[in-house]
Amino acid sequence: METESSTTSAVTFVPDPGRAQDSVSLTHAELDTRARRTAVWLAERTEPGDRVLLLYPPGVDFAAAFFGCLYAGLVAVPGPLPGRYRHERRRLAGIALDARARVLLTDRHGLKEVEKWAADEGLAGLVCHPTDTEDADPDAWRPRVRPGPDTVALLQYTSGSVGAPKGVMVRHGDLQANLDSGWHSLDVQPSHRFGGWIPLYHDMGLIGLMLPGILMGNGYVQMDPMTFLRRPHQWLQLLDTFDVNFTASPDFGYELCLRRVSDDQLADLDLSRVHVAVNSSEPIRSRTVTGFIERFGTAGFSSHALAALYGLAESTLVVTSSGVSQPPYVVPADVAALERSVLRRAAPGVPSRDLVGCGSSTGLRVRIVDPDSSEVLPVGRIGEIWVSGPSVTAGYWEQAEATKATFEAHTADGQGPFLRTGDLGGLLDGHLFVTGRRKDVLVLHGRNIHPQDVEDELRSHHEELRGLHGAVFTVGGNGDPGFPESVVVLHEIRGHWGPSRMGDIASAMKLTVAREIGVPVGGVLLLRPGAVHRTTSGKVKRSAMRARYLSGALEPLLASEDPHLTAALGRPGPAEAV
Amino acid sequence: MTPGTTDVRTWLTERVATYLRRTPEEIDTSLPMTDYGLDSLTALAVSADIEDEFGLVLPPEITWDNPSVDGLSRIIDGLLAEAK
Repeated sequence: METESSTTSAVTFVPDPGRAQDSVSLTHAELDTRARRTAVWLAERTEPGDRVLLLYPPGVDFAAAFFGCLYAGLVAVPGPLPGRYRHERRRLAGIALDARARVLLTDRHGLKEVEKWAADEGLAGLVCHPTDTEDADPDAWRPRVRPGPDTVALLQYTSGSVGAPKGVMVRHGDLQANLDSGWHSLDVQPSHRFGGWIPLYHDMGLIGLMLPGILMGNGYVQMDPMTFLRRPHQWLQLLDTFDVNFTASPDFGYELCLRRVSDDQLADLDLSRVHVAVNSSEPIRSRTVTGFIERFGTAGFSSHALAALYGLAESTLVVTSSGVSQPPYVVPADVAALERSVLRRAAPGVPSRDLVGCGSSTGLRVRIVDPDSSEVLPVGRIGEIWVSGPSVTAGYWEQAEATKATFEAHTADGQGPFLRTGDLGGLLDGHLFVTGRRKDVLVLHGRNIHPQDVEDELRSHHEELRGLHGAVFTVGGNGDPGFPESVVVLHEIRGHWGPSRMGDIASAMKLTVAREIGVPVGGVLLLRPGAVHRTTSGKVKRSAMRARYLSGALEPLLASEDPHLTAALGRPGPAEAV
Repeated sequence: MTPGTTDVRTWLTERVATYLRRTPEEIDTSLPMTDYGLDSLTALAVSADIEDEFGLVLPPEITWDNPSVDGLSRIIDGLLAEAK
């Protein structure tokens, strides 16, 4: 990393964007010193290539620890603090075991929480160390190994359910390629400061903001994601007060600003220095994009700044980007054609759904492929998005089978290997349009939630459901304001209960999902045992169950639906007639 | 709004209704808020509003342990009475 600049801030943490004086910074020289100190501590306890968990509260210490791992020739495994959701705590334990991490780094504020979690989860051999209390001599640091482009720098655990976590192996060369192509396509200047609220265990936070800010730009400014969620205008205040030119958020962050920033708060903002605001990592809604530009244009926000981006951890981060030379490109797509997997502009008067273009490739080869026949599809057809080239990562850590299935696909005419993204999309007018996901994963507020995790959680809390099957999916959310995205839970239930008792169970199930997973449920339908369809190998047919739900073909023992959801489905009378 | 002079429940019902895009009349204040789709994001928004409005910092668990508007209002009333 660059160390010549010793006086400018490399990383800054802002506890409260309304109180700039409380911010904490490390210069490049201080960051380097701290990283060497950590590397010295680590070198005494690890072998090169060992995995190190990094579980930090928001602050400047994560950056020092991350570089410390790299200095010591180790593999960084960023993760969230365990928190209070049981689902998240178990998922994190699965990651620690899968990565076979023996050392966990945190700071003194996080130490108690991670030690309790490690004890609760039976992770006896894990050494938990707060790096902000170190006193090792930074000058004792000697590089143990020279990392090459193929040396793994970090494991990014964004895929896989609680039971089967998958760590994407991101190599030094992948990071370099992604920083070069991805971010140069967004016209990044060395004078640009990066910043935002996205946590650093998220690839968009670490690889999208922190690394380019420190390595290529004029530093990285971080705020606590909770501060943003509580008071969304403080993100925009951070951009203004700290001269942040480059920020990013999933779609819901922009949507939250639209809904929750008041006119008074808006009047105080100057967003004219924001050069890039990336919208990525969950479906990009045209209403959000156009709404944000319109509302925050009055604060100087440029329509060119909003860049729609498609990417995934398996390709390090970025695959395509719409750039900053034009406003977002929105196409009203013909709805009937979309249902036949054809992407075309709707003729006037024809039902349409606005799709936001994610631009063109930033250095990778992108193909649209029929997921069943592996044939490459032409422009205007929808299929699975396949990518290849630099910054496609080395696969999943110690998962040869999953790596082969996902990273080593070949097209029917023998091109390859390609990474299968699992996402559906098509090419039109020089843009990639993402139209859906082939996997069952629910993408909510930037989080990937696996339906089987929600189903398992419900079964572990409600004994009436144990040993039976469920299907969790989302409906709505295609831009129709009358039909927002809603989570629906179908589950088989054992025994004969009266309607009132079943109503209580359904209500308790909603509370369980809200508490343990943190998402609201729009509808719970309780079904007879055997009503949830499965494949011969026992896999729940979620999309088939979703189609039956939407068509009203299910005959639930009890349905507890949000009246707005019932109305959006166009059904008479709410099912709360239990 | 000053403690003791306001109807906390009315205020809270209005806030919750706004976030859930309902009218206050649609909210049955005795039902768990999760029945209306209260998620963790909305819970955070509500707790920030309570902080701004009443100067009370609520532990985040409260929103989960007392998931009806009535229950949460009683807690706020109690804390306000204590703070007097």
